[in-house]
Amino acid sequence: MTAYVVSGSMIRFGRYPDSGYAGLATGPARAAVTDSGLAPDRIERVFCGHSFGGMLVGQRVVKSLGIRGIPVVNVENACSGGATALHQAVRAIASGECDSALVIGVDKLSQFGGGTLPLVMEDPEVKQGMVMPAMYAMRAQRFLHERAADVRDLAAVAVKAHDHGAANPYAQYRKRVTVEEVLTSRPIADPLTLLQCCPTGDGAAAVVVVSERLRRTLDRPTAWVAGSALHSGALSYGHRDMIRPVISGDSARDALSEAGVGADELDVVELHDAFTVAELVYYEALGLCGPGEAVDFFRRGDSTYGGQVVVNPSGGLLSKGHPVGASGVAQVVEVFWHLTDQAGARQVPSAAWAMTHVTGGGIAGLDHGSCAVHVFGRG
Amino acid sequence: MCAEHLVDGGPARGEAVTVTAIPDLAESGDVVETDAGLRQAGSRCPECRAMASPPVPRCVECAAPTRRVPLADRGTLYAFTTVRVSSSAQTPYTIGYVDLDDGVRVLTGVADPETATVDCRVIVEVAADGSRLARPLTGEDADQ
Repeated sequence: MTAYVVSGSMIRFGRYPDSGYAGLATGPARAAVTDSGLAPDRIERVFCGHSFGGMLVGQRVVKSLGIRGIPVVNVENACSGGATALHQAVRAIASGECDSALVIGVDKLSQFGGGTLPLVMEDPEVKQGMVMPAMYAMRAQRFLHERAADVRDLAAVAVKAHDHGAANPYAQYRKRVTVEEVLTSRPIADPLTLLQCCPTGDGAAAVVVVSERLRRTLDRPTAWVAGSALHSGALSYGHRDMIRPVISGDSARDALSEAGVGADELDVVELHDAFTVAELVYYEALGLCGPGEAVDFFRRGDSTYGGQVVVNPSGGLLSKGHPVGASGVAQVVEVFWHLTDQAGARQVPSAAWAMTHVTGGGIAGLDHGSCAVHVFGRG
Repeated sequence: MCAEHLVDGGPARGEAVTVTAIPDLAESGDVVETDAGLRQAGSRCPECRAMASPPVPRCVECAAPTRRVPLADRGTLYAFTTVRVSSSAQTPYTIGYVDLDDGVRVLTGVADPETATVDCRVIVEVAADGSRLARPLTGEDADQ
């Protein structure tokens, strides 16, 4: 793999009633292009991930940036949309098709007024009342049933997320919470309470990715895209184990293999903690700990500062927020900052290897619709 | 050249194949009437025996035309949750995954959730409007 992230930018996630998709994403896109050192007319491709922005979001963003006449591709892949856009950009560069690409992730969930993410009503399970919190609530119930864990372990994941997010000026929620506050917050889908669910909000993030050849001319710190994997769910009409998410495991295995590093070498991981239980389930799926070890791994403090790996230094989806298409790119911005020592108060010291992981989509017969995992190295 | 990726039995090269839209939004497609009452509809492949629910006209494993069949009405409740905030339906409601005795997993409503437990036995009741409810079984019923 020969692609490098040379710059990244994002707005603080939150609610922006006066901003449209272009309003949200133009700032980060412009900042990423400026910080890359490239003139706007040297950007050769644009890939834009979003789920709810309607037609031509990428074009609406870059039209005012002096980026003209080049291919702009809009990518929808649920929670993996932004990371899928990066995957496409990296492939375009690695194949020699281009030397530079701007990757944008953006979504505006405040347009729905709150509540759960609107899913596709054509889906037979959605017709039965499926919503994303319900799916993760059932995962949580199975997890607690099969493991020596209780709801306080789930709540402690939210506490850690908010501890991390409190140090992140880009996080939607920067207030620390206690286990009691998490457990007594409003019930959403039993056993999950409000503070165990990522908030709805608006956000945008952007990175510029370049080839090795172009990187050598730019003279600035970069993060090497060492592995990039994208998997989609396989249909099964029978039993599925909800606490062993197949495509997250497959994507992590492939991205680590491509990078030539082990999961135990990772210093920073931004993973898809859309709900508290997800973080525990994904520790195992990504290989950060062995099967069945997630609760002990977490209780030991192995997923925070001073432990084996810092998971979600940004605060994760739970604290930073989760504007669907933006999240995959915002994770990359976060690890780019850590790998280039720009993460400020939340900097993971001497971070050398990082992973980003997004997965999602609630459709019948698949454990998840899509999953994208990237592995990054310093320099 | 190796041709292992090619399959036998397709139309001759150049032969036009007429295809039509599948009526997957038709509500009537999900229920089938049996001597024992209404059941959820599924499909079974006569070639490879693979089951599907909701029914599919062609087997997702081997593409053979399928037969519409009633699904089992008993199974095991894999997991369930009472939903209190939803964009899909009026709250609160309880839904769960039922692993039916014929091997198919379905998402249904759950009746009497206060009596339900993980892995409890349930009977799935199908109403005329196609709605389904998994009701926890107790005592001897649960042992069947």
